[in-house]
Amino acid sequence: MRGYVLRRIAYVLPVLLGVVTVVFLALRLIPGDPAVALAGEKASAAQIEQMREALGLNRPLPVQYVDFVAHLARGDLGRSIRTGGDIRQELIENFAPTIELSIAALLVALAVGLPAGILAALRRRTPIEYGTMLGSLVGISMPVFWIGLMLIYWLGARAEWFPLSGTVTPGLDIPARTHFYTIDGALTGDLAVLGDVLWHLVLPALTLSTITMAIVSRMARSSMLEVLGSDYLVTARAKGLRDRVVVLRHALRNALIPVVTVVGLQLGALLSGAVLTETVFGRVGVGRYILNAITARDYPVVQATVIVVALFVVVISLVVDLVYAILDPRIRYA
Amino acid sequence: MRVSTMTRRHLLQAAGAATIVAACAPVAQPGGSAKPAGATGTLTFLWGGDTDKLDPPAMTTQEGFIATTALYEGLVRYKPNSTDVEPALAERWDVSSDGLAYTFHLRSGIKFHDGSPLTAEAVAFTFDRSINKDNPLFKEAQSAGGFPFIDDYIGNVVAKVEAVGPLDVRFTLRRKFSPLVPNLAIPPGFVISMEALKKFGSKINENPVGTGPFKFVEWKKDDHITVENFDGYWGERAKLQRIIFQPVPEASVRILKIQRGEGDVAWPFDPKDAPSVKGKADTDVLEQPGLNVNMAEFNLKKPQFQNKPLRQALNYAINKQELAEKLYSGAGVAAVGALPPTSWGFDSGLKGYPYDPDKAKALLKDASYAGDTIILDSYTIPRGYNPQGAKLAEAVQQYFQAVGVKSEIKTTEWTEYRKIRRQGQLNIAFGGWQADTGDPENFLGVFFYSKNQGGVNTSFYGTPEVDKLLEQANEETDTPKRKALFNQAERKIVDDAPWLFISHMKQQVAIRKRVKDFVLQPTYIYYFNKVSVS
Repeated sequence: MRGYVLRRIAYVLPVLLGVVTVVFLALRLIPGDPAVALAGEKASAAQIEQMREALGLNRPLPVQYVDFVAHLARGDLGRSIRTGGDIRQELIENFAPTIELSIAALLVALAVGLPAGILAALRRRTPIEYGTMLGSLVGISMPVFWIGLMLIYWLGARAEWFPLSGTVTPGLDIPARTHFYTIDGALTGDLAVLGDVLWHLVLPALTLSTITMAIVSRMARSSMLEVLGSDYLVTARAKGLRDRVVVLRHALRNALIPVVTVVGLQLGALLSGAVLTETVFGRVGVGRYILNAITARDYPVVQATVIVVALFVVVISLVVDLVYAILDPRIRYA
Repeated sequence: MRVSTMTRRHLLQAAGAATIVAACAPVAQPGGSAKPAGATGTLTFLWGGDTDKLDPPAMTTQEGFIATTALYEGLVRYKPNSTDVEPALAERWDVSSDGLAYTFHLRSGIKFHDGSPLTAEAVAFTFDRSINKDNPLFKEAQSAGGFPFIDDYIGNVVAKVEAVGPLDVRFTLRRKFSPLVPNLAIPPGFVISMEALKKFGSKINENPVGTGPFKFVEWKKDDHITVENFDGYWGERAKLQRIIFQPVPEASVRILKIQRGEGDVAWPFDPKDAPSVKGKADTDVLEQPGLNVNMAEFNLKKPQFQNKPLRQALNYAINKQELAEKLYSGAGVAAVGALPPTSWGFDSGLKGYPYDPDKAKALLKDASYAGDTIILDSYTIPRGYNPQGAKLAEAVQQYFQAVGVKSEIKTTEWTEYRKIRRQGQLNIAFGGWQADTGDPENFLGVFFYSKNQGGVNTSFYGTPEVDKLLEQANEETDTPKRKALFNQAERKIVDDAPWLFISHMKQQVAIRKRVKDFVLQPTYIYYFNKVSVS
């Protein structure tokens, strides 16, 4: 197992270096001069040149690259051009709420998608199966921003059950300790504050969960169907085990292996879905942070964010591989 | 005080999946410090994106201009809904006989939010930081984007700013420049606490300290900015206890929030949404022509467009009124020239190019137009002065076709577009301008003065006659005389037709009726001193 873990970690480093290089080059090769973007519509030619110099964009590309990697290796992500703030600090402030939203969406997706998929497999050719499959098709097909706007309109504006946008009611005093709003909200010891944070989280989490929920339910259904037809379950039933035990103890564990993989990959997908969800709901998060940076051609922020997100996805993939190896011992010897 | 209208009853109505949340979700009340005497209520101002910075000379966003106007003040400020200025931190000013020295006399007894006094030294310190390239604080700011607009408004003409008495500060100019005074009313001219600048350096961005009627409380980036009534304000105390500026990226959600009462003022929004809030029981829309212009410029470097009758013909071919009403859902105002009706330099006698396809056809004959294809260069994204982006080019193409002119639309990504436009590579290039100050120089000078060619003047227009008129207007200090000079220059420019003069977008603000005395400003720099909520 240790050899397998070390091997997997060794694969991570070239992947990261590749990401760093691609991000560096891609941002400099696409059309659009960051100095023009940053200097603004009203800047003179001299001001643009001044901006180019301040950003170090007038230096040769290899020099910029070496400088960039050296700073990165020291953990120095630089300063945002748009806000003037320290990028590392801004990333911490923005990443935590996105992870929070992604986890909430994942929990909703699992809480609904998993039982729905399993139930659909167990109740074949019944309205339960048809309903689940139709629901998952809708979930996959609907654009996230549209679902978000519909939820805002119907459950927010019409029914007035939920706030329409924001991460928390403005003006609420929540000291930023961990930057996870739920944790910081809980640390205030004020249930009303925690409630306000959670209440702002419901619609975005529901919106972001739809695609994952649909994928999980379909995956759980097909995987469960495959397992239910296998010989060892026939044996288990022949032993006289009750259906409940057969399903929960014998079938579910094996059926969950592909679901775990999908869930891991979905966590990465949730991060990209967060861009739209955070924008529609006006939430603080890394999705909106990078969107603002892209619009303003804030190169240092775009670079740093893409690299950190890539690192995050790579680590998740690593964890998924390890979990996979634990669930299925054959993997580590492959 | 405005909070979410969520109540426990509403919580219990929510779906079963949320019961865990509901159990611990009574209505939360925003906290904060004690209410200053005489000030009541919170105003929630919704906008699309967060400000980039809160350091007045460093900001590039309108949101920043609005938020800092609550926190800071300049030596002068705009009168209500006007581009005329009146005294603010300075009670009066003198101009030397040669027009090269402006001495401002500050009011006494003014304090910054940190308690330090407003002195001539503090004013000089603020401006030296933003215009003196050898100042360490200037250098420090460069790595975070610098001060993008300062040169346009102050830096290019002001050689130095110095204290010549405890409350007297002198601006020495390199050349005569009468727009200096109105330029000091916008954020690049705001005065920052000297003590705070020494303490925070460029981190003043996150710790703003001014003399304004509101003091800074917090800026949670991308979430909200909170400012609170300053009880040590030198003038009439503001009526509001607090203002919260909240970014809501989705324009439709901003309107929903106004309808539901989760916000009091929303700017900007999609003009198509205006009927859903205009003249309703609780909501309304405030609107007036904006201080902007939406146009397409002929690249006069290209021989194809060095043909005045052709340029005039194409101006007559466009139905600007129809564009204002249909394409912009009534939120546009047809343009007769470059200056919008809200500018004090607007020439009410100017007729421009009313829609006249027959005249266009006749002029095309004079122009010897031989049926060659004209390239319409367009950007892709919506702009404040053209919320329809590239759709405008499609509409113009149809008007051209109607008078027999063939055209082709070429779109380019916005940043690249601006770059190649400056290089003179485009043809008929769509563009526009949102003015920062109310001075006509901020339209006519930047676009039609020959020395600005390749800068903002990307039609590459320039005639000795117009140059001379604009120079005279910049040196003249008497406003009626300046207006006459600008009008004369604009008439010549409109006759030369270096642009397709299209429209001015209205400034529209959605507002709850509980908000009283909120006054639109042509510059979009709103003053909150007199605003109250019922």
